[in-house]
Amino acid sequence: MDDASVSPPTPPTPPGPPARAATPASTNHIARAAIIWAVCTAIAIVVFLLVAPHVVEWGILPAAASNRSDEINTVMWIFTLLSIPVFFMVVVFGGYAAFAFNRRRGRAGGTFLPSRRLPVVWIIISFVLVTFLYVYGLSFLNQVNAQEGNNPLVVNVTGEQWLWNFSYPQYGNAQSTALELPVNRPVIFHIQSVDVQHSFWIPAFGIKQDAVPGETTTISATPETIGTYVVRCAELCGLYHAYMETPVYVVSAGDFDTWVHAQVTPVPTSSSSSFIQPNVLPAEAANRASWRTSSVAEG
Amino acid sequence: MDTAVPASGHGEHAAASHIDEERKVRLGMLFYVLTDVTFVIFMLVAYPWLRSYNTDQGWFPFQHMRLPDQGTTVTLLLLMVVSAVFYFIGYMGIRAGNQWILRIGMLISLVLMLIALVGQIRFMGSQQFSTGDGTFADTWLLFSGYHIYHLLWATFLGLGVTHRAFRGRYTKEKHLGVVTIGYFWYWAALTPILIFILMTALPPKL
Amino acid sequence: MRKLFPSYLTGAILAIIGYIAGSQFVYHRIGSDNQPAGPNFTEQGMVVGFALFFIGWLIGIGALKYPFTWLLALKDPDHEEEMRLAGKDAGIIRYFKFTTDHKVVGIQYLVLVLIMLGFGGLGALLIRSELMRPGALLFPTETYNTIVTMHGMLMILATITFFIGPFGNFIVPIMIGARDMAFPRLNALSFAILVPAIVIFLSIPFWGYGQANGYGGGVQTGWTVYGPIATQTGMGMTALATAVILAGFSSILGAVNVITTIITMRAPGMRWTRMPMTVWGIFGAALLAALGTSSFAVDLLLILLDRIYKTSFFAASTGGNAVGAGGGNAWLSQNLFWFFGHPEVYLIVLPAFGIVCDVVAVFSRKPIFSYKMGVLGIMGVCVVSFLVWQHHEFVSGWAPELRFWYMATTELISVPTGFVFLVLLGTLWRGRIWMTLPMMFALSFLWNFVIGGLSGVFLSDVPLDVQLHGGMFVTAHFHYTIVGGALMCFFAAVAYWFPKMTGRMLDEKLGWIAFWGIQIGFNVAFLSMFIAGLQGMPRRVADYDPAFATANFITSIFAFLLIASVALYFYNIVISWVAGKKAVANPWGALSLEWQTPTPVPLENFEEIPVVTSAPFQYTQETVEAEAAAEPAAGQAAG
Repeated sequence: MDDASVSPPTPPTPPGPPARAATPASTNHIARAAIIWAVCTAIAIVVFLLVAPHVVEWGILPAAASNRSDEINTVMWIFTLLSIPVFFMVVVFGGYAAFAFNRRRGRAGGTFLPSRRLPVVWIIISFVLVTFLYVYGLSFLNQVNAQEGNNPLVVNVTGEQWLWNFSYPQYGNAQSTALELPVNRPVIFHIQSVDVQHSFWIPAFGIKQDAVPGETTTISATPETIGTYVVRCAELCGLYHAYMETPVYVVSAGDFDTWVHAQVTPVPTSSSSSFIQPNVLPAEAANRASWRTSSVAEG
Repeated sequence: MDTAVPASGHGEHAAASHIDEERKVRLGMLFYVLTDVTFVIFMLVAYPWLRSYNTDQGWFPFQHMRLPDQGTTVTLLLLMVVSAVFYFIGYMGIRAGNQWILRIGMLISLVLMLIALVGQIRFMGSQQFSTGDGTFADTWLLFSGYHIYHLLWATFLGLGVTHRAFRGRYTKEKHLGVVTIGYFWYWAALTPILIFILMTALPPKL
Repeated sequence: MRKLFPSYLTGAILAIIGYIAGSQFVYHRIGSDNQPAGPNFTEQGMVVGFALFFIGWLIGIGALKYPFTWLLALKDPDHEEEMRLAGKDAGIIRYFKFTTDHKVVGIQYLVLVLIMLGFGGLGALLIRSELMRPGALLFPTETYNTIVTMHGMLMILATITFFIGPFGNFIVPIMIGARDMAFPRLNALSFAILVPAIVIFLSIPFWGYGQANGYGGGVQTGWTVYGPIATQTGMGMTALATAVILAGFSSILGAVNVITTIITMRAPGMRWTRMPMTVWGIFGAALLAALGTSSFAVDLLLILLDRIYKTSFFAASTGGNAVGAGGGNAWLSQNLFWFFGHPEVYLIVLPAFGIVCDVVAVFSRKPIFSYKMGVLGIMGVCVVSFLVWQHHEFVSGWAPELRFWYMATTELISVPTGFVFLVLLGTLWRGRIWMTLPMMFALSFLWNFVIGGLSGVFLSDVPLDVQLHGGMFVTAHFHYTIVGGALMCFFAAVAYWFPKMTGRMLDEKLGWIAFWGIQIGFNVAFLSMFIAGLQGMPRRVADYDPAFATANFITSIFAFLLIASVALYFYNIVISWVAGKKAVANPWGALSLEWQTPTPVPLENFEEIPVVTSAPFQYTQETVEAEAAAEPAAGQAAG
């Protein structure tokens, strides 16, 4: 902005010999940058396609053990593929400008003024991209909600500080602190919390649902691969949140029947953390009862 | 959060400049009142929320709990509304250049508001229920407490405006303080109406 | 000595007296109906003590003088009095008292923000040390959780302040051609409120350790302070809630002041379409701060009531852990929190958008490309950001039927954000780029924020969010937006306006070393954290499965590099401030108004209010060519 008292900008640099001649205007910078962009994008996509099939075995993604995992991985591939050109768009054009138009190259600059077309094209492309991602995500949205499925197994999950309790109402309320599931049978989890908020997360199944005190939330999945996985708490729930995890055993239907009938008597609670015993094991029972006992008495 | 900011001018030296001082102060005060409005709105959200979820029948657990007296609620509400009306009369007075209408209007509105303040504190203290008697009781106490906080600010501002009115600080041309504090005053009178609608007009028992 | 009355010294003395009086009065005279929180006080006593601490501070620094002169209808302060209050001829002491000059307030904010970032960085250092290897390395989980909470909250407080505070106060009034902020005393007050808030906040670790409630001392909640756990956790929560309510109060006062200043105090000819983008960014951020902060304040107020008066806004009575009658709802807490919490991250990043546009325009020697689109981007983000908060509730079980709508708004917000990228790329393109330190940080915004934004698109998609929510992927994502976006711009802004604010140049060489350390450390650390998140590592854990060991080890090592480089940058700021090269009035050849004032900026900024005649940064072919002709052929060095 100019005003009467403002002189034209005076560069701070000391005077010296004149700059080199400006880059010839004939150089088609946009075409060059576009080629670099296309090459980078192509390389990245090829690398990605080569790497993608192996990420599970390399441990970058958790094992895909349920019907939900594949969907999630597919969505992730599509999103990553679409992100690559966008990312290189910004980085290549920005980086190219930073090098090619650096004033050390002696350019005079200042010629690329706004055209009316470019913003419109930009808006249209970004809307199209976003709309595609949205519609694509939407098509998976229903499957996120709890599905009834065929002959589902109901598991009541109760989060408490700092362990998970599971009960199987279809099997005489058999109780356990480790989750055992039959393979290829839909499971519906009814999740509750007795104290604060927890989040029931089985990374290998691709499901997560908060356990909210006073409410029951649901989520479903169908385990498809026999193996041992893990339930984690994904919502900071106090002192031993880091240790609030418990194994998930996906077993054959026969094994599950044997196991679940052996569980009819409630097992004593013990935190069977799969990897580490905390320094101080939570003395759950005493602690839980002592929380604000005085206020309970008055209320 | 709170809004009540003494809206004294920035100083005369800038009066000759391009800046519209009156507009600036009015706009600033409106924004401060707006932030208080958002605070109240978010607080009021607790009511429909807790009522509709009614977790473990915790909204109104004691069916025989004595409710806040409706007559007192309405009286306190009317005190605030009448106070705001008198404030407006005082403002119209100074707009017409009449100092005495301003002074009497301010004085009456201040006195009414002080009565409302004392009454609200006594009313809140005299309830049979307390915190921990269900979320209806909790929200009632929360809103009443916040209303008292409003009234304390209004007392401070009202004392200032009335005092300055009696000192003849406001003129027909220059009465910005009356205008801007009026914004807060009318809003403070509106909140008990909102609280009344939620707490008394809607039956608390589900 | 007389100058010390009133100053921050008297404020501190009265504040301490106030705290002791308040807490002891409650303990001895009123007693308590909740359990005693310690040997000599109760939690109610704490709150009352903090309130009197705050009031004592305000009285001590003399901030309450003017409300009472108004109340008592004493003589209105005249211009001379105003100038005395603005620190005229007061010397260095004006930085240590209640001073209304917007430049003094800006410097005070800058120093406080740097201190806050320093403490937050210390927290990051401790967190990454603990997470370097699996297993409990350094702290018990109680301490770790408290550090996580404090790191998060302190960094949030610092980042929501670090544009509106220092630059919104120091730069914006000069940029729009005003003599001061709209309400100078309120401006000073908003800083004066933040100081006790931060002092109270930093006291959190000292509350409630060894308390026998079995849930630990400090604050075990994370910065999100969700419903029941905030009620259950140690007494540090009371300090946190009080401190953050005060900080929110300060933020609202400051924001409204900025809004009013920008709306009413622009110089003649400074139309809305002629404001530099920085002003737009800070304007949008101030709008968000003014309208959103209340929501968090309500959340914290309800938590405080739950804690000290046993109300049950958030605690349900399930399972025998009832406080009072129960009936509370945890989702209420989450929604109140995120209605503030999400606009809040845009509050952090909007000024960054504006500043980065300005810096790129200045150092490309070009007008801002498609100015209107940039403004549309900033204001579009500002509006849409109020409509997206439910994406934090995608897995909470609250209102799953609304997910399609919030997924749409969340993905939509990437469109106006994309406008800003177009503006930046267009401005860079065919410019005459001068690679200074601010320009480098502005360019690093490009590649860092695009990663932050793209990972945000992953999280906006419900099926993916179900897997990634609450994991390290989210942590990496928002560090990419806040550190990679906002903090880089803060460093750019510091380097860019350092000559104007301090009168000295920031040392370029040290700055460059720090810059590359920051870029390498930051990118490797957080890209590797994305991997940990994909692997399934949850956030905020003190200990983790050995499966995540490699990713965490890399993250820790490069996080140390990042922290060391940031420390070097801070050292650079301090050393340049003390002994840097003296700066000329306009070292960058920038065209906005703040560079047309002399350095140091005189008390009322302008001898005569300038008249603005054109849009910002109207570099033309002729001026740039003239400038180029006056330069040495630096090309030889490059080629």
